[in-house]
Amino acid sequence: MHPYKSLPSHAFWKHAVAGGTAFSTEKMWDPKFQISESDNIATYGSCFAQHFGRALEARGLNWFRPEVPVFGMSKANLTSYGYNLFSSRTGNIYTTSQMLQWIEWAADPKKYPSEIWCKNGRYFDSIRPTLEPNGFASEEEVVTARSVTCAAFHRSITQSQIFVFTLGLTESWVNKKQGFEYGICPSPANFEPDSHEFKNMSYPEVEAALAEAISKLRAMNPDLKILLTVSPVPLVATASGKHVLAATTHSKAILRAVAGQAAADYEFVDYFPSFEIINNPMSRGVFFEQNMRSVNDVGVSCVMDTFFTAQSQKFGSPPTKGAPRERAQSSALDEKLTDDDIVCEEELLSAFGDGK
Amino acid sequence: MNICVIGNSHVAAIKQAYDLMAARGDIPAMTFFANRGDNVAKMVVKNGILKPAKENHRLQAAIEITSGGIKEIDPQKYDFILVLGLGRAISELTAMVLRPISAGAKERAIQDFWEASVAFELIEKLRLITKKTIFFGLAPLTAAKEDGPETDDTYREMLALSQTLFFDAIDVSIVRQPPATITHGGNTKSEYARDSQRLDVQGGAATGAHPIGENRHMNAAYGEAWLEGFFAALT
Repeated sequence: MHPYKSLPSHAFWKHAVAGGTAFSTEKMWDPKFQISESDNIATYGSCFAQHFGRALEARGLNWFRPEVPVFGMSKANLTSYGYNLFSSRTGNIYTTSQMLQWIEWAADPKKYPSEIWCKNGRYFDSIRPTLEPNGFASEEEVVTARSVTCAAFHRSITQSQIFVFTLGLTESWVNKKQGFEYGICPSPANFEPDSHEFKNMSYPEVEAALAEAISKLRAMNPDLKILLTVSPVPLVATASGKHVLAATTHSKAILRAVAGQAAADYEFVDYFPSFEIINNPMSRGVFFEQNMRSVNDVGVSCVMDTFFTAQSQKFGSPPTKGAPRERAQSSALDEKLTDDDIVCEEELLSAFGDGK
Repeated sequence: MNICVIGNSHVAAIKQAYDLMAARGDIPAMTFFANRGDNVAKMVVKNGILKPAKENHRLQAAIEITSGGIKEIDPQKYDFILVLGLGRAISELTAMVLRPISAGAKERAIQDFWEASVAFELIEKLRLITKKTIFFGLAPLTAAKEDGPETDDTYREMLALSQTLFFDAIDVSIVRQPPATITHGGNTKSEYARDSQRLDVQGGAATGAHPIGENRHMNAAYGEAWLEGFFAALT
């Protein structure tokens, strides 16, 4: 028999894509492991990862946040203070090397860079300068916040069953003198051409950093299962010298390939196709906001519905406390996420584009 | 002196104590307007008066019963107003102060907490119709499982932040829980939670004690300690 003869319909573009709609995501993900209500699930990554945690919680799953939100603070202010975005207040972790840094700092907080920026009498952590809306009152506060987050990040590794990491970028800025990577490009007031250097990670670099991160995660928690996704959100701006669309494709292609390879290499690593669902040609861009960059609520729902449906189909009983579709709808009504709710530090780059 | 008291279920302990103290001696007159839960904050303002909405029969009945027959609140008839108990989770707010978070985050949390509180909902309405002094007596701290040393350091810090960051701006004075009733920095001593009574909103005798293990509502002894502190602050 011809090898293509026995393939299922989802193996053929005509049936699986061209013959479907933007919402035809069945069979797009065959999950390796079950996610159950008792699992602690840690989430980190680029801005798209913020949707993931909230969707898990909306479905009754245990979005693990050892850096507990501040009691009394409004939902909007919790977001602006960096709570309820990820499992701890790391801010966005865009690259595999940033993830590796955080894992190393969690294991040994003394390695966290000591650099603190000061502006108008307020103090900022250079790694996550947008963490507090008005900065910190003192250097001591910055240091305390670092140790709190490192400890919480550590717990999110050691006390979780599932660790979700959404890969976002290959481009980043490093402090070449001190040997660390920033969360975002330093602001004009803090930018030092002699110290700060642009870096666009190659495939081997992304892969090596991810492999080392995975190795360290498993050393800290040998039972940890890792779920990788790639953010479908394009770059705000590129410092690569290329057209931003070409740079986005270059970056996402590397991330997608590395994530897929990791899932192929390790039985405890899985890849979930957020990127493909949003960029499916059949969606004709309908999952993007008018800026053709931010993913809209419909797109997020489609991604998360695919996730939960695949889990249900593979492992039988739904891993949720309510009917997924019902819950998704009510959560969309009650807690409609706007762009304002999603903190995308990378978007700060737009502010330096002189209106471009 | 005539004091208008508006509050929720925590009024019960104060009313019980007030009746005992009034029978013993000369204390300022208090008129109580209370209902269980948050309903009392749903009163509406009309022509300088605060009263239950027409369709809110349950609140109408509660107001009339707890006040001894008065159907609406006219601030002009009282010297002071005491808002009592509205606002949950004072213990959680107190515990928040201990967290290793920035001063900015702490201040933001205090402001957000009170801005979203039922007490503020009511106080805002009162401020539309009166400039008279408004006191705000916080709900008691959750009772401790076991009593320890008499300390109120965390509670004091929470109060100071709440007063300066929020209540000063609306000209409201917080009335604190008496130090002698506090243990472990931010818990009520367990003895004050024994035999606490439900707020009587049905008329007649009190409608019975809270179930065993109730740790959010306090008894008449707590009410006495609280009123003694309050009256002392007035003078």
